[in-house]
Amino acid sequence: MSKKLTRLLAVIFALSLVATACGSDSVTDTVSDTANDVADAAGDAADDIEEGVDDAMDDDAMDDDEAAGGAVEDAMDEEVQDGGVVTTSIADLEAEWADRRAEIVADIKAAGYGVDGDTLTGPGGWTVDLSSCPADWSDTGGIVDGTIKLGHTTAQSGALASYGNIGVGMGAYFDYVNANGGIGPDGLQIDLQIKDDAYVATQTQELVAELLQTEDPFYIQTLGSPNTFSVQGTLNENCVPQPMSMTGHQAWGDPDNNPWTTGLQLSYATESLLWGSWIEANFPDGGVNVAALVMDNDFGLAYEQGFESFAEESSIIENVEFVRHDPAAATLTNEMTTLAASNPNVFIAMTAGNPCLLAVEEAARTGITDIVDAAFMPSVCKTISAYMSPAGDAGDGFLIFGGGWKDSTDPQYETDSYISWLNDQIEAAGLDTAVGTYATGFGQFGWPAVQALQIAAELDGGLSRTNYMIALRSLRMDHPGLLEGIAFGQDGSNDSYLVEGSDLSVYNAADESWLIEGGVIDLDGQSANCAWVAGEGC
Amino acid sequence: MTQPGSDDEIGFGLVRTLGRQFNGALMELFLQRCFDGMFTGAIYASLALAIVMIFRSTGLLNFAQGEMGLMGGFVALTLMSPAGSSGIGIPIAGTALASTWIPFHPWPSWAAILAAVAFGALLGSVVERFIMRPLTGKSTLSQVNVTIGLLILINGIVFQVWGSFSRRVESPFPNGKDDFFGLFGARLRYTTVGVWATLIVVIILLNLLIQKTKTGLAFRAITSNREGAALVGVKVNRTQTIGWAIAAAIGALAASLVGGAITLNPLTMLNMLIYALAAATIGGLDSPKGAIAGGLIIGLTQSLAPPYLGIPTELTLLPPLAAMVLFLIVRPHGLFGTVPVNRV
Repeated sequence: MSKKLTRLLAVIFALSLVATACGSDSVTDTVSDTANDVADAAGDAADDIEEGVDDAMDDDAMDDDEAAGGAVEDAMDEEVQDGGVVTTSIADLEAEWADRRAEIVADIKAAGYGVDGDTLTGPGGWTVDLSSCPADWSDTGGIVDGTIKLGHTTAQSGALASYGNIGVGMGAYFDYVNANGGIGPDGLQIDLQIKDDAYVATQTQELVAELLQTEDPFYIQTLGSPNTFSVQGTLNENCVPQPMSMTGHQAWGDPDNNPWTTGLQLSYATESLLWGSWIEANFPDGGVNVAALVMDNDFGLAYEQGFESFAEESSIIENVEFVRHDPAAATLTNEMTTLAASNPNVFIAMTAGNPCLLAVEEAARTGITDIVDAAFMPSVCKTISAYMSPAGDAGDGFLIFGGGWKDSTDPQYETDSYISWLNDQIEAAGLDTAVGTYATGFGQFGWPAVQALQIAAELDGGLSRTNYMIALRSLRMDHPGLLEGIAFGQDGSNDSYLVEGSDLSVYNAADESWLIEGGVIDLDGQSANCAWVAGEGC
Repeated sequence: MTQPGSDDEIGFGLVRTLGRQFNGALMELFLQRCFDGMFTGAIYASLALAIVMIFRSTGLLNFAQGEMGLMGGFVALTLMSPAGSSGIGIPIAGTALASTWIPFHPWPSWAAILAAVAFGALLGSVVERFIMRPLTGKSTLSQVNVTIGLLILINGIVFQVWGSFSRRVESPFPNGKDDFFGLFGARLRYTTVGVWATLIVVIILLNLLIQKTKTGLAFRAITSNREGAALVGVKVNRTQTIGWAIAAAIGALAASLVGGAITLNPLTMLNMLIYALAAATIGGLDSPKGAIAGGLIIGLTQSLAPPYLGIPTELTLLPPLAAMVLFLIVRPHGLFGTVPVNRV
């Protein structure tokens, strides 16, 4: 009797699920109160960026009759430049870089930037109070016996383990630099120590604490938004640089409150506004439904907040369906079905790592790509070999504001002398050139790290943490890994984002290539600083 | 945009249901969610089945079950993938070696999966013979701890050999964007049907093994009373080796099917382990058919509960675990598990 009763209860439970299923009239939105608060707060800061986007995109160039998903080149202002390949030899490039570094050094010296008493002064009115640094803090910490110890926490295991190769690639570039004269007139050798945090913020905290207590690295570079957030306070309190964090969260552009932290890539807020501006430009009749797949962590929510801020002010975007997913989700089937049910005009993936590939595949299987007029991947999913190529035809036609970087595995850059040289060096280091993330580390992150070190080493007093931060805050060079027309530089408190431009590309599955549509868009200097407050935003 | 705190966000689905009628779009979406649940449920069921087989033959929970299967899945991937890089894709470790030493490489997907199943059986046998058997007589906790160690070890090996990237395993079933049955506007994927058909065949074979053979009888005897079974002539070691081999073979089959249905990376089976354990618990830890039923329940719960009960999708783990807790309270031995008999 009791056996029948318990089975009956189980059946009732199952039937109740079925019954409740039939009563819902819409797919629920998972936007939380906190997210809305943050979105409101972020709105003001976003306005400045949006103006820049509007300026850069010429509405007159839009074809009103053209639905989204058509030729995107019309969306680009005539003033933006075409991306192109580099044909200058590496020797000439090295000479150009050296000349440019000398100019920056001269500018810094002429401006009198440096340490005066307890105050560090840099460009754009940027100052740092050094009196709050720990008593045992050393400006030359991490420089021992001709070696510069650098720390790097990254995800070499876990859901975002593919990004762990960035550090390996960066290490390969440092090895190249070590073998070719090292840093500064003394030829200092770089010793990069990589620690695996598995993209778990608490592990990042433990690893950074361990590094600070044992090695006292010259700087510690972190990967991932939650991870970078988790140690930002510690590193700033300890006056240890946290340069070029491998995440696009807008919070890294806060030179006044977090002077030792910087980002590098296009911020997620700016990318969100580029999506919104593109939608407004291509759907003049309005009534646009957007479906957004959001990774449920600081990274994904930065995208969500940025785009929600834009959408709330938009008369074109009628509804946005945000569906968040567990970063460790094995499948995205349920989430994508929910998004497909919202009958979107535009799909945007706001995710990273392995879910990039799942999002592309599920968009095809659930029919989203059949429904929508345009589907976007985020810039962090641009790597062809890891995310797009395995998806096969499912990725065909996806759009991306790719952050302006050349993909080293993309056939269209085979003739680019820098990319070609970079791939040769990666191969010489015993790494696989088919793994694009090695090149990301080698060029995108490794190159500017070395440029800033070289500049700092030439400043009065030689290489030190304060000189390094001055060099980084003053850095403005032509990054060889960026498409032509995208500036790379910052200016202390006036401009705290190194990259503020992007390409708009469409994925061609047959050629396994991101094809640039039109030119590039650059918003250099137009992103406002972001004094991030948890729960409130900028 | 839907406002937080509105009726649409907070779940009053059951109440609303009573006062509303079906319409076409709702039915289509509901049906699609059911198909989604069947899809993920099939994946969970396949791994749960492997867990059940170990428990059936040894009375142990093997936390490394998914990882042993994962290694089999990557073996299948290696056997079915051409050597080197095809265009831009990242080469798969071992394919160059395989193309040199293994005839007719790359193999068709079905042959590669069969080979992976054989590899899984071999791996299971080796693990039982050289790692688990020496622990005979040790506490259950010690043995379970060793399986957790195995989980970490095998995952590390897979990560080092095949890397961190997600790989697409060629599915034995059509798995393109247009490969589905259209039923009332919903999409029932060929893959879902294929995986379920495979599971049904496996469960029939397992039932025959358990019910109709001496090996099956020996499984039951060992689980019930190991020492007693040995006294009456059951070859305990041999039976346990067979149990581990069968379980690991099913795990390899599961990983191969998962890799074809979605993708395969070093975390794929680890992410599914908790769902599979929940499925096995709900179905009954010693019941193969319970594993299937449990997988289906977990899959359906995961796909239906968030949208219709207003549970945020990022809390995808919550509904399956809630279902497991519910079943543990109501029916601790699971839906089809053997009710323990205590003699006084």
